[in-house]
Amino acid sequence: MSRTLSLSLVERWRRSWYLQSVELWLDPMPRRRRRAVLSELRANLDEATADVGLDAAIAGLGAPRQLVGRYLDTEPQPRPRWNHGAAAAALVLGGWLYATLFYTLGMLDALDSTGTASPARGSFLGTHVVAISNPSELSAAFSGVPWWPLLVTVLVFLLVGRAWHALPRRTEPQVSAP
Amino acid sequence: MDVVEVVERDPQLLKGVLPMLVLTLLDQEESYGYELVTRLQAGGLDGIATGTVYPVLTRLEREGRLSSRLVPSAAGPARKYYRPTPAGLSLLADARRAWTALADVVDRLVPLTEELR
Repeated sequence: MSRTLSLSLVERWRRSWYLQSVELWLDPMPRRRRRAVLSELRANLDEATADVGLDAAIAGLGAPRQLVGRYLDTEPQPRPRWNHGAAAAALVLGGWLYATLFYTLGMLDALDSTGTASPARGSFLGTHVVAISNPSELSAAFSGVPWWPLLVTVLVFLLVGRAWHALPRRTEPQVSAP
Repeated sequence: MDVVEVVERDPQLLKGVLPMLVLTLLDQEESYGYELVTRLQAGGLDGIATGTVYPVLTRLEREGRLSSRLVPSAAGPARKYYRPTPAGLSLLADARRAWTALADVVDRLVPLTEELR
């Protein structure tokens, strides 16, 4: 069963996307075993593709999340999902940055429309903003530590990443028979 | 109703015996993942999916029931060949005994369809 595998660019992209998705969901598996599983999966996927085509080969494996679910079902104990936690925390942080930028642009726009030349001061989720908009200067300065957004980001990272699975497990006390 | 329909309708039925089938085939001859799937299909499990078999191999290897070795392949990445360890053969013997005992009970309690008619 050794046929030469030739894939089009689109098929290569699909195979790569599938394996990337599997890798993302396999996050809770220990790194060394995860790499071994992915390497073997790639080899078997190539064998199946050479035999029945990429569509059937991927269909046989099933959706990435379902396939990974079967792998993780057999894990001895649950582990944290750091990649998921980091992705969720990045989203929260990105949302906060976007909101702060939006708030600052609103201040500058208000200064511009009212013709106010003096600096405007404001605070948004712990960040102090000083905005200046006049014919000679257009600027915004930020200061202060945004504790709440940072706290929420860390909490989201820990919750989505299921960080509690990294804690050492308490072993049940053994009761000896009389 | 053939085996494919039964497996599709009740995947749990296969899940219980799949490790025994995998160990049996690998005891007969070592195989890599996809080759093992094709052997299972040739043996009558036409509808069995690759995504059902590979996690079983990973679990059995993690539990020390299978050993593996990488063999370079001219067609692509190295193939990982599996064969049962002594612990795997012991599990297989237990599984066969349990299956035979269960099959005896089922045969006794569940009459054949023809006998019902």
